[in-house]
Amino acid sequence: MTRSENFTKYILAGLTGLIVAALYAPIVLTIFYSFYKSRKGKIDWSSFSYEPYTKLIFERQILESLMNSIYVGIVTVICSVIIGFYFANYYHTSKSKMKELLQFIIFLPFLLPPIITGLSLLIFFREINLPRSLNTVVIGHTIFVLAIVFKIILNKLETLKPSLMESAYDLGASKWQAFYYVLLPNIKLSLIIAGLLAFTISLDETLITLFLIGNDTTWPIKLWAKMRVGFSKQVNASVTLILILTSLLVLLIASIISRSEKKIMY
Amino acid sequence: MSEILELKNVSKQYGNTKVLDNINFKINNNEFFTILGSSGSGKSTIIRMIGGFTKPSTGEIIYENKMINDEPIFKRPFNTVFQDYALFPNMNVFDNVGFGLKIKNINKDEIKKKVLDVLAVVGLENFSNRMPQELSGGQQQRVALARAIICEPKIILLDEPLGALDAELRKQMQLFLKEIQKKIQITFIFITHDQEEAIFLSDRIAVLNNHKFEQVGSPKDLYYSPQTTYMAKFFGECNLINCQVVNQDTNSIKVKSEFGDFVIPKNNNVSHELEFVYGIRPEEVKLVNKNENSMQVKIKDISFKGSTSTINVANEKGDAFLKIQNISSNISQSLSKGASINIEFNTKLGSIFTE
Repeated sequence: MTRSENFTKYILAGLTGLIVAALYAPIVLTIFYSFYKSRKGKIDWSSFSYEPYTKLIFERQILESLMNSIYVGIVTVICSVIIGFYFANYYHTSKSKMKELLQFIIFLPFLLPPIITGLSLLIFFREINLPRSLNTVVIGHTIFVLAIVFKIILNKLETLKPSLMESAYDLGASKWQAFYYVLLPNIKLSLIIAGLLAFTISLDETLITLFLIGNDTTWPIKLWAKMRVGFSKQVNASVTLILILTSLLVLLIASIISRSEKKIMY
Repeated sequence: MSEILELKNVSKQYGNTKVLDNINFKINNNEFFTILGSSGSGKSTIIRMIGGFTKPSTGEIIYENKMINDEPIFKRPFNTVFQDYALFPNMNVFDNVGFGLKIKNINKDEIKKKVLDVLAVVGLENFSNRMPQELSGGQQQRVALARAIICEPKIILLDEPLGALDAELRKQMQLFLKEIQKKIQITFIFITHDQEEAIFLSDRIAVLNNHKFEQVGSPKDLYYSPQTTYMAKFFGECNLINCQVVNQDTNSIKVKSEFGDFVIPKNNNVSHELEFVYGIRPEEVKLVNKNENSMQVKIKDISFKGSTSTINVANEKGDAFLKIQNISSNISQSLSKGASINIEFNTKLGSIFTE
């Protein structure tokens, strides 16, 4: 290796390091400041405490908003996975040309600016006199994440050989039996992955939620509201907790994907 | 032998593309029936229609004197062995084979007994706990067959089941299929593009060409009495000679050809001066001493193949050619390129194509 090649290598490594640091420093700092105090830009090393975390338990509003978010997330997962599977299966098996239109409509809310999706849903709910609540938020989130859920399930369906379902029918299975014994076990992993992703997206969705929420509040909206009246250590603490939670979810998804890929590779 | 299945005037088209054109055949009980055709000839479509995966555009599929065009897949007493085996990857061998019985709500003990019996028949009794991914191609094939056999269908449809196997394994599986079909006494409808395989396995073969059946018959029928020039050249080689009738008497027809005149036995009356193509296999051309029926030809080349040789010859004008096979090398050694020899056809085994 020549000297100039070596030089380029170090420059590139340095640049990569800087970019990674710039991207992740805010996150690290958030975690850091959930444990330490700073005064006039200087870190007070003696101020380490778990207090923000223990206090968090008594911050009923934050906890309540978190429970709301988890409720919305779970119901969104259930709705979007069922509807997503139904549409993906239809798209996969149908020969109708209308299915391209269906796919377009499913993708639209995900591709449009969330503000448009939120606003049009709000107008729609007012027209049909549906009062705003966590349930309208669930509807909004389901429409938003459906594109991702649909695509993940569709991708999996497309890897299955058509002869798989045909042989189930051939051996005497009804549609339900073929679905339950053959299709479902073979797409199970993609349903789990789609569900986990839908949950993470729903958990931090703010813009559409803002339009659709009534008197309740979800976790990201609560944090946003709290930030306006000044920073508190509890915000840092709850961000840290959610960060850990979502990181674990992402890790779970990644490990499921890599495990299923090994299975397919045989 | 009783007849089990019939296809009557069956055609299939997708949009404007014709896949099958007026297919007619009958299948007997316990027969090993093969549909032979090149890829894209529509052969898979035939068994997909029998199995119920697709419907004929026109025509009837008749099973035991009943039209079954609209019968759903799961009601038909047929089972399919797919080209890609289509084993359920989420189930082990035992559950794969037992699937058809489980669907019918048969009790567990009986399923267990039957599955083990069938696995023994296909020689996989020690594999019941394996997953399909852990089996070789040949073993997966056997599981797929066991899964069909256990349902006790009246017909098993095999869609190019040996297509994905290597040559050695293919030979083994051919033997296995032939033995098992005799043992379990179920009608097999088998799809292949491999002529040797078809001849080895089948009681009867239907040859598919240009979306139509060229000919249906036993392997011997197809070889010795081809009905079209396509069929003549399909199995082995065949010399095709343009001829014209010169005259005929009660037993024989005298014809004129590019190689000279010769006499063929008469089976039917033919019109005077009829032009036709005469087919004769290379091994049915004999070297003879000059006589009144012999034709004189020039040797173009001689290829030595061990105990026998193949000779290519041309007529006197040099515009028509014949292939002669199975000439003892003792004789061919004494011949040389460019020399004139006399030949005669074994006209008992020639064929007349008037189309």
